[in-house]
Amino acid sequence: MDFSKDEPKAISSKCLSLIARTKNILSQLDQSNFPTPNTRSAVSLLLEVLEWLENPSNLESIDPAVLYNRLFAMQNLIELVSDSSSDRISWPLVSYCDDIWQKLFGDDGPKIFYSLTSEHNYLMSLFSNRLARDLNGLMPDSEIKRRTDNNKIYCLQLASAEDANLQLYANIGHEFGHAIFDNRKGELLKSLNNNFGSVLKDIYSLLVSKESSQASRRLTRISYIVMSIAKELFCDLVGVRLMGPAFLLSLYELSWGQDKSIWNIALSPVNYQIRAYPSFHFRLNCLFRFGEVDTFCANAKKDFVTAKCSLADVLPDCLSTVPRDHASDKLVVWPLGELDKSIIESVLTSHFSALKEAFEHYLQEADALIASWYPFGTIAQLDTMEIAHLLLRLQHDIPPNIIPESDLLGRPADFQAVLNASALCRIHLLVNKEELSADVLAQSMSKVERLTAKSFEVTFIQKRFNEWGEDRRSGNSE
Amino acid sequence: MGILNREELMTRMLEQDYMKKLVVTPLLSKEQIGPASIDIRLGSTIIIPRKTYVEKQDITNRAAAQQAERRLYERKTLRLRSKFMLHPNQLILGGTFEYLSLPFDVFCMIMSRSSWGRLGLVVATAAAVQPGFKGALTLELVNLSESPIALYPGLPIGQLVFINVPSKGGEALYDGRYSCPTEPELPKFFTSQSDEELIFWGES
Repeated sequence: MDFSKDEPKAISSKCLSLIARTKNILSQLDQSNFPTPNTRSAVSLLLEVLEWLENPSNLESIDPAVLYNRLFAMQNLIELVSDSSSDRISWPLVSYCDDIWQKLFGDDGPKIFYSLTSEHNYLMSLFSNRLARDLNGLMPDSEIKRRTDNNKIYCLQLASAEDANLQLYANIGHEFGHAIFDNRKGELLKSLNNNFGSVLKDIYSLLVSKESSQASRRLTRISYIVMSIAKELFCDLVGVRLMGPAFLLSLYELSWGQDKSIWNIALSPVNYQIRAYPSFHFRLNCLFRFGEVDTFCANAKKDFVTAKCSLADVLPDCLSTVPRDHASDKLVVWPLGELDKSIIESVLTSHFSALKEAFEHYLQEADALIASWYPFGTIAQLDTMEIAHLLLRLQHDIPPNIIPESDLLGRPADFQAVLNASALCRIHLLVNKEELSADVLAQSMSKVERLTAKSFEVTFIQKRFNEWGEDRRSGNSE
Repeated sequence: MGILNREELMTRMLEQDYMKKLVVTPLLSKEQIGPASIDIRLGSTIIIPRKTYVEKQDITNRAAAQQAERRLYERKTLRLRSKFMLHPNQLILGGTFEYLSLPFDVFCMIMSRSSWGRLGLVVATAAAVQPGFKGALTLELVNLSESPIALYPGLPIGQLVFINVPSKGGEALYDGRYSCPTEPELPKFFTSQSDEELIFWGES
């Protein structure tokens, strides 16, 4: 026995054992439990890759130590598909989101599946790219590309601790924005150049006057900061366009307990890893401005009274009080030890107003682009009268699933209408919490959650049933 | 007091005042309303009792009864068009697809459908629903046949018969332990004052 020779062989054996174990985990997953069928595509992709790796003719050209490490890294992806279960993720809700995704990207576009994260956040990542990174150096590039380039699969991780709070799932709209940004980067970057050309030129002059040898490098970093902020704002815009004011409320709720006036900028030695976030005040203000939330409030005030909804006096005004004054916002650059921190912070602060204005112009253009890319079917068309009817049902402990019509069946409410009625009801309960004990509040919130979940379930099934009935009547179905 | 016929059911369901309205929602087709009943469907969530290390189900023992809730059951959500195979002699709890809101003067009974009964499927044993109840109903589904039965969410599985209860207004409203459930509910013991007497009947 000679360890210097036998060690690689031993690692190879461990690799084969880990591959077999991982394949076993994947093939044991109950596919009927996946919240949407797309999880199957992710599982198939992983199984295909593992089979390629365990093939002796492929295995012999791979460094066993590298393979073993990568197989470990791949376990994160295995966990994503394992956590993709309708036991924890509302399948009707994500099926509705799948419908929206399909309208955005069509049949041949990227796919998406849903999983969980323990973070208090929603995370969107390109699953197929993460797999490609793990395979880099193990598999020939052509083999990787063949599997991942034409089979783009996104994974959206939902906050597991909030899995009962379906109204917060309006954040999914923001995450879809990331996928749109990736797929429409060219046009959006062009718009960014148009709107930020002048302010970046001014910033460059200032940087040159301070330290000319570093000006270009710092300007590049600032451009990445601008792009990161612009991306977040664009995603918010998509969020409110897809989900309506429910997105605004879910974003607002995420901001609770945080300083809403800080623009956080995290520098990184690698430019594309620079992360920057506008303040919640600025984000919420943009949503009011470009998401037509003010119009929604005005219509709601009128229609809620007509529908005799007892929340008429409270809700639209309550929505209008969401804080959004960004006049005293501040910029903070991290980390503390970063050499460029002070200069970037001071340069951006001195151009803060011009930058905010450019972001607003950019959003105006982005809004027009969204409308031109998706002329129908994706933008939430919210009828405040319908929402008033759904709120009435919620107030009487009845699921907000049907828009009352003159006949017995009614019309199943749209996903966005249910989501928004429920989000309004939730915020009403939360902001009036002084009147309720913690126990009663928890019970009331839980009741609204249950009624909302029931509505998603029954409206989704009823819509599919009605479509099937129409197809049958027109002779398109068996 | 009498069973509500089709016309009376429709009148009650079209009532605008939610306090007086009979709600069975959603109805997927008008054919669900029969001459004196409304067909109901199976919802997406089921509860499957499982064999565990809990030594017995003894409802007179508060701690054991509450532990059993956690240890004896598995909750499963079925997607549209996915099935659950109910094996011979197996019991599961299923929720109705429909959500009910009964006014103060209407009582309701859950009935099996004869076609399912002939297959061996027994649909409900706790058949009475009190006036004022709001929620989805929990159905106790048992397969008494010799072969497995495939169950899908949405299948018409039972029927409701509604009975008018003379009432002066709100005095007989349901105020039980199952408040606005939307999924099948586990048995709940020791959640109301009247259950305290169970301790008396059990082993000392």
